[in-house]
Amino acid sequence: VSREPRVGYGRAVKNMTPAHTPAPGSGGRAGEPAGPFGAPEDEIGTREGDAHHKPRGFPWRAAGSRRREPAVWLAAPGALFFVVLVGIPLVIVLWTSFLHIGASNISHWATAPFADFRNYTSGLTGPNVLGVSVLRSVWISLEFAVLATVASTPIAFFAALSVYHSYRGRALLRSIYLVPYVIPGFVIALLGQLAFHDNSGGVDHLLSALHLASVNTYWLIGPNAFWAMTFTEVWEVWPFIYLLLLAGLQAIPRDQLEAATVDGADWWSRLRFIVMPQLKGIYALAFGLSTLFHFGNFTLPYVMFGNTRPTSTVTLPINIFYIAFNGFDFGVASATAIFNVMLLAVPAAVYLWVVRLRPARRGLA
Amino acid sequence: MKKSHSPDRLLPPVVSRVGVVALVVFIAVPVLYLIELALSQNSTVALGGNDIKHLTFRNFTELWSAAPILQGLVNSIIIAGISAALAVVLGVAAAYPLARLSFRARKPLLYSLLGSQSIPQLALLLPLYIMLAGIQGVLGIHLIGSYPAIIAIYMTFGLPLAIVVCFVYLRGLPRDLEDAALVDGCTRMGALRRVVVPLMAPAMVVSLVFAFLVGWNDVLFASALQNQTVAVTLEQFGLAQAEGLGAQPLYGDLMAAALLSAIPVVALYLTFQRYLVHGLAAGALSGT
Repeated sequence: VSREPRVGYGRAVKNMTPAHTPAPGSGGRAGEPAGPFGAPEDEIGTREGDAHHKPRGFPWRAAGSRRREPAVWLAAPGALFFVVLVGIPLVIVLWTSFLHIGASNISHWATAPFADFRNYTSGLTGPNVLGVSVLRSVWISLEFAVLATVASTPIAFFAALSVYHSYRGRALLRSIYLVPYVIPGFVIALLGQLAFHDNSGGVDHLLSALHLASVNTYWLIGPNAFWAMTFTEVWEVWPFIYLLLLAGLQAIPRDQLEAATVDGADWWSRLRFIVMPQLKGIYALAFGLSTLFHFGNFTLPYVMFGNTRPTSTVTLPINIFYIAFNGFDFGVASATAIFNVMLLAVPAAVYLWVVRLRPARRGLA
Repeated sequence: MKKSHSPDRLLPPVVSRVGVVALVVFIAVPVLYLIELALSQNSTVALGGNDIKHLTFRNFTELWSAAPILQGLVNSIIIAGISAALAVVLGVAAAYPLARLSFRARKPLLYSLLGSQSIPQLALLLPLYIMLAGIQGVLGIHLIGSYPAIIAIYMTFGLPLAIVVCFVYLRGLPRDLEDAALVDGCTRMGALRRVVVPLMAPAMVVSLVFAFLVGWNDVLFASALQNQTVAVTLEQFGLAQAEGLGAQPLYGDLMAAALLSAIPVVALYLTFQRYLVHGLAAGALSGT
């Protein structure tokens, strides 16, 4: 078997032969480290031209032939599950959001009576099972999500900087930083419940020993509950931002820092003029994703306030869950869920756009 | 002028040291508190006492009879384990054509994989519940609370990250080995099975762990679909204690069980930490 010359594929060839126009953005920057996940030549792969405009000459396909490669069908089972368990449900929830559908007619929902837009109008504004309107819940969720992200930022930023330069014990420290993030959410929610428990919880004990608050502060009810929830969330999820910032830090070419040091830049100048500008993009992404996760966190408020359920902690997911499974009003719950989808569609579109533009090698080294 | 001249020092040494100590304390105190509660007697926890001298492992023997923890653990291992294994198999299978071949559905598939991550879980739970209830009503098959339904759901939720992780990893692998196998007469599938899959072990480990955690950590779907995973068992156990259904709240047992269900996950993470951190970053940049 004679080996065909490898023209047009394989990144080495691609980079070395200018006659081949490389896919836009691919292979340009040399010298960046590529770790196990840092695919050197592509971003997430959704950019025009990478696989599509692949020059012909695969050894397994005659040039110009359009014969379908059977391996394409390997993607079919995954895609099928995706369509059945994500795609179709989204269509159904859109449909049921226009229906009167409750416990009695749940199993023959196809014949449920129409509700026009009532699920969206009175359903979203009126109080419901928990006495909190959907719009109020959106606001609670938003406050919770943004506050948790903002409060996590300085911790995460410091943590990333503190394990950037190498020293003995750094690997251990990196493991320790991850611990809150890897403990299951329901465990942390239960711990939060006990820690903030009135009178017997550790938080009340600590604060009263420090003369900062009464031993009966009642963290699990009323408006205090919101702060207990936010604090617990910050403690749990700050390492997410830390991970992204650390990845971003490691992608900064070291020679820039070296050059600056030779020129006499102190730590602050290096941080301010080299590191910060290059972390801006990845921080924006971390901010968005982190806020999105907090916004959708169901486990923490659900488990932490299991028996008290203060109105200050009725986030949007909690509210939808109660409308559906305690009030058995699946119509309004569906409308609320669709409302939720629409709320997230804008940041999701921005996210897709950002990911499309961002080379994967950035931060994945 | 002598200090802080290592170019990758971005903090003055004093700030760095003090801050690290503060941060470690911030992390450690709640974790130690969790361990202390798990080792304290039920009465001590309920009264808020701090009895470090009388720590005991008794909770770890009592908790099995206090709540169906063992059943929950077994359920979780089965559900999360099978769904994760399936997610990895389907993930590798789907990632391969997405990374190596060109076909019309490629871009829509990639975009919907990424986009799906911002769909709120409740927007899927409600219709899935309705679908399952509907099928159950019409065909008389038991679905809500069954293993296959929840396994299929968790598998599908673990799939996007599994595909993305495998996809990104696969694109970092040189094609030469596959090409050599193809040239030497291997079929596409043969090359995939004999050459690509063995090379992808790290990506598969990452996908497996993440997909496993989807099932292990979830409370929402398991409680709505009435699957007694360990998460739901603990949530209900905790609720019963908080509502004072027992004579004395068994908080010591509860925390011991919570610790027990956290240990395998934390151990899993720390074992594969090196790979997982890369995977997390890859996932975040391309759709966690």
